[in-house]
Amino acid sequence: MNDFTWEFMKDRVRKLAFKGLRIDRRGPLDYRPIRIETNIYHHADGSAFVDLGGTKVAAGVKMEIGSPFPDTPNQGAIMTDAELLPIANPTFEPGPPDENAIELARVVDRGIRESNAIDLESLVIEEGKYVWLVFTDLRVLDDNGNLFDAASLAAITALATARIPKVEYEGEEPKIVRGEYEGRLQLSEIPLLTTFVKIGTAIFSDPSMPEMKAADARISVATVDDGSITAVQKGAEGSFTKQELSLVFERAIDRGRYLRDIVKKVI
Amino acid sequence: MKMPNDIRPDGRKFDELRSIEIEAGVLDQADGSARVKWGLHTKIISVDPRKEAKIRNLAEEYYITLRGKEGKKLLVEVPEKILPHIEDDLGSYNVVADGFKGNVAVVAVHGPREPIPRHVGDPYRSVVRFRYTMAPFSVPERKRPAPGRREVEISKVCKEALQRIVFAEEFPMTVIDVFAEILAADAGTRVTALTAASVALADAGIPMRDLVSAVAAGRAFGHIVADLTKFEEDAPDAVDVPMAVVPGTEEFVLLQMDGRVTKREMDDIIELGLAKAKEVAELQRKALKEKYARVVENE
Repeated sequence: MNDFTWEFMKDRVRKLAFKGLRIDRRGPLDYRPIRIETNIYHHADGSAFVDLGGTKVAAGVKMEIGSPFPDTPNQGAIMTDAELLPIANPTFEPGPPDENAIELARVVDRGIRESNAIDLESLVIEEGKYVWLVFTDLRVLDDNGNLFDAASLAAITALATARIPKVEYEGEEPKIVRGEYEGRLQLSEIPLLTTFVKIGTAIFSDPSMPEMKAADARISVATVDDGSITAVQKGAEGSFTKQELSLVFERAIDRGRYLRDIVKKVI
Repeated sequence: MKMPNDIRPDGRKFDELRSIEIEAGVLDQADGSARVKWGLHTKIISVDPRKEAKIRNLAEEYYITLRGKEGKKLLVEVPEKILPHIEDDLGSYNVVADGFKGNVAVVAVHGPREPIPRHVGDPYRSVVRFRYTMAPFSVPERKRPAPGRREVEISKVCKEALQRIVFAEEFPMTVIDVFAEILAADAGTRVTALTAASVALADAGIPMRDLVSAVAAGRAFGHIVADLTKFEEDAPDAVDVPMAVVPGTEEFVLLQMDGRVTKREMDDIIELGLAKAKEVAELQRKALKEKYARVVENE
């Protein structure tokens, strides 16, 4: 689709939004269909492929042995990287991650990190010397809007299915035996992002591509099982009022429960 | 039981390809796209952990891998085709899950479109660009996301192979961008990517002389074989020859080789590769037909 047709689409999305309606006839809080596959990339220690209404993201977890940070000798570390591959959208360019990819990775990472879903102290191999570094890589394959929720679903599903590699000692030094595992990576919670856009006076869940383009503002909220909020990111140039934010948080908790039930079925 | 003489470490015959599943039109934002899963279907089985030493011995000879312990059981991944040949050695086992060990590539085509930067445009033809990338989790040791020299080289030879088949003179001053992402790797990723790429070009509706069908052939454990796995690529006498063929005219548009062979062996490898590339071409055509059947059904 070229810029000109997007302008028409945006116009239509905005006109409908003033009546509280959506271009694909969804209700304001409805998600598009979600399909999740797990353990599909055999070299990953955990992996997932998510198709959220056509937005497709592949995630893989790799565990490596590293040294702990000097100020946290009794903790491992988790890291999240995302690439907006040029595959996913004609406007994405090859090259190192740009600001959008970095924002995506950091927001997904914060939701997981701040929930303490992964006990970093359980990632210690030898205190002060060797810890697990858990890398989650997100590869965006098809951008049909709402990359945040698709990436968050993919990351958490890959982590929830990840296994811890077997370790053997070569003298003093622990080495990974690739392909062999000693147990599951434990997750105490399922933190998930839920994203909303504000279009005129309407607030919609799970924005599709035309809705992303027509949006005044975007907000992503990570929640966990007990209804706590673990990360928030407001995006785009528009704004939210206090009342709107309160409504968004309430809906985020509800939509988080909806998504969590879907994830729990596949892990 | 000794390995029968006519069976490879994964249970295939010498001239047999791995399973190849091609799907066209898998992405919405691309003008054309394809996904190819090229590998071995496996069974994850659980056995008595006291057999660990025995299984490690078997793993020297067959393409089976230990997957660690789960509870009191030892998990082993075994290609489906070798399973009947080693059942006696394994003794009693339970199948826990199905697995897949092989290459997964997703390819998108954007274009023909405006060349950016402008100086890459050619006033007489469209320029095909190819970018091959690997996901960090596609290989045993996490790969850093930035492309390395290997990926740059593969991208170049793939681009040259595709340039040959596109009717490029119909779209002067444009580029056709082909992006290939490898999500899982087990020997033969470039031929997987190129096979997917030519389906994605056709899916994008770009006029082409023919498809490009790619495959590897070579030598492992004393035999000339088609479509080597990582296990065979690591054989002491391994020779790997990735190649891409225009099936209608039998032109070779990509050919690489490393190893050491006689001229006679090289001739045999090329002949085997050509025959196998034609099998790949059949699967590519089938995938394209299936996509259009789907389009018609949805109308």
